[in-house]
Amino acid sequence: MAGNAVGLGNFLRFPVQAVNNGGGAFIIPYLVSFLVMGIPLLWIEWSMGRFGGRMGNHSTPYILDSMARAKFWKYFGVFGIWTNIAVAAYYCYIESWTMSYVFHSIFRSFDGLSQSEVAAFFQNYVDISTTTTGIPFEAPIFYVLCLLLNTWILSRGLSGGVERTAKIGMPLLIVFGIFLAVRGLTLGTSGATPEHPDASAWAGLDFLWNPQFDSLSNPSVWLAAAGQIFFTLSVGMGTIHCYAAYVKERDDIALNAMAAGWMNEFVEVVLGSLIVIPIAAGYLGLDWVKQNAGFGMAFQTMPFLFENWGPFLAAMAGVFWFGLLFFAGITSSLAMGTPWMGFMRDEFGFSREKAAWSFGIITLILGLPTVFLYNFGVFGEYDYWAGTVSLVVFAVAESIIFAWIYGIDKGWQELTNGADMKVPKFYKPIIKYVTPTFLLFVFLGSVITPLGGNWGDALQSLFSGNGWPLDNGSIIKQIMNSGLKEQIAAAADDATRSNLEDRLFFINAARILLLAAFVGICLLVATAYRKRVKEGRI
Amino acid sequence: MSTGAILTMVITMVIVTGFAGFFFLRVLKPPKRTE
Repeated sequence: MAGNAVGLGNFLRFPVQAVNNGGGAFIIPYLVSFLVMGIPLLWIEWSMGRFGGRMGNHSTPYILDSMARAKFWKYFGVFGIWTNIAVAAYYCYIESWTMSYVFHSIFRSFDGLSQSEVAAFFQNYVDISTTTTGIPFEAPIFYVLCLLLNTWILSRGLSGGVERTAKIGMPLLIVFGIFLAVRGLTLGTSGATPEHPDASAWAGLDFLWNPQFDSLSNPSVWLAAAGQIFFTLSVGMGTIHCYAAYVKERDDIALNAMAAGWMNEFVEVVLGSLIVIPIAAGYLGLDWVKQNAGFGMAFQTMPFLFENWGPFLAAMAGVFWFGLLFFAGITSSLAMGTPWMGFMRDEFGFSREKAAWSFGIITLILGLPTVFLYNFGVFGEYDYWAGTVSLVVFAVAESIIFAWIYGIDKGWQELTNGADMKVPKFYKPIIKYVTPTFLLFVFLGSVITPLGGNWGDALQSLFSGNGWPLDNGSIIKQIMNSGLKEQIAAAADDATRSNLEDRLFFINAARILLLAAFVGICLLVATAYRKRVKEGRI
Repeated sequence: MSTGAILTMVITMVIVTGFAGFFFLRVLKPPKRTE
């Protein structure tokens, strides 16, 4: 399970979230979120999954249904399938970058390039109109290849084999990660050049680790921190339920959840923070990092580091690093296929092949817009709604079901059943009160985040009759695309305005596509329900 | 790097590494069941 949890989120998403949410401002909410949301949710999901598995359910709609009497809960379970498909759609794109960069490392595409040229190489790669290898549509080709490989492995039932291979790949990734982390710690200002005179790895580390306590009052930072915890631990997604539905009644789920969670945190906090940000800041400067923070940051910087080691070692390091990242990614993306497959096999009697290929086709339809419209913000849109907001929504629902509807006493018994590990009793009130309250605060706070995160001023404004000033980062303003509309209104020239208007159009189209997928799965759940009633299974 | 940043980094990493190591060892070598 640690193989599934350790993925691209640790090395590629965590640094980006940290940079986009104020560096040191992010770390405190992040760690608090791990302790009061991450750990309890890991236990909740493992317990719910094992309970559901005993009832013959292997995906969230009917796992939730088996724990709660009200019929509507199964529709919350739709999040546990939809999120996996929507995340897999763009996650496979990142995975395909690692695949492509293995290819480019072997063929020495980065040979002799400067820092800026290595960074520009990635921009050209994701810009579909240009090509870095002479192969037209290189990025979509690697994406389709990557998705085909995932689907084929799922259809042949080889995920177990990949997990076993990951048992070798994962320690190798960690060892190589430690080596790179040492480089990140010792790079200092030695990477500065006349082109980037202010480059300093120390500045990157200082930005990331300098605690800023004022962030504690900003719910957007909390939402991002909670979203990262969910994404990296794969909680709030439905993947763990599906995995746990197959474990035995006497297995120690409490210990397994803890081991997977803490190992994941080690890789993310210790290694993830010491590689991409300090190395990028050490070669390109902190300002560049702040302006270019995105999933592509590691692809824009690591090849340059490797190129400094000479041709042979550069190729080896590139293959090793990107190849191992690919391994980390594919163990996670394969897990994302299992909730859909479990649902279709349980409810509609699909064969493994049919379930896997249907997953591949839906993911391809949802994923191609993220590839072709990457520069129009579609990728980021998927990550916001499927990779952040929906995880929190589902987590709120499952924590309420587990602690309040199914009942904390029965839930605690399920968690501790078969546990060699003594689960600390203080986590019982945390699971019952703190986790759902915290999740609700984070979610509601993000829906109505006040302007600049300033709650005092917003309350004053409300009581003086001037209304609640919303921030553009709030979910309400995000839905209304307020920030983008302001940019359009302020555009200095027609070309910029036209580009932003295209962006607005594609972002709305992407939302409609995601919504259509959600509604489609809801209809399938409703059909499955009628089928169950007809067959006398309910 | 500021002192605050160094302290936060070191303390966080020591705690995270400690817990990860502890649970990893527990999974590798679980205590014998008494039943």
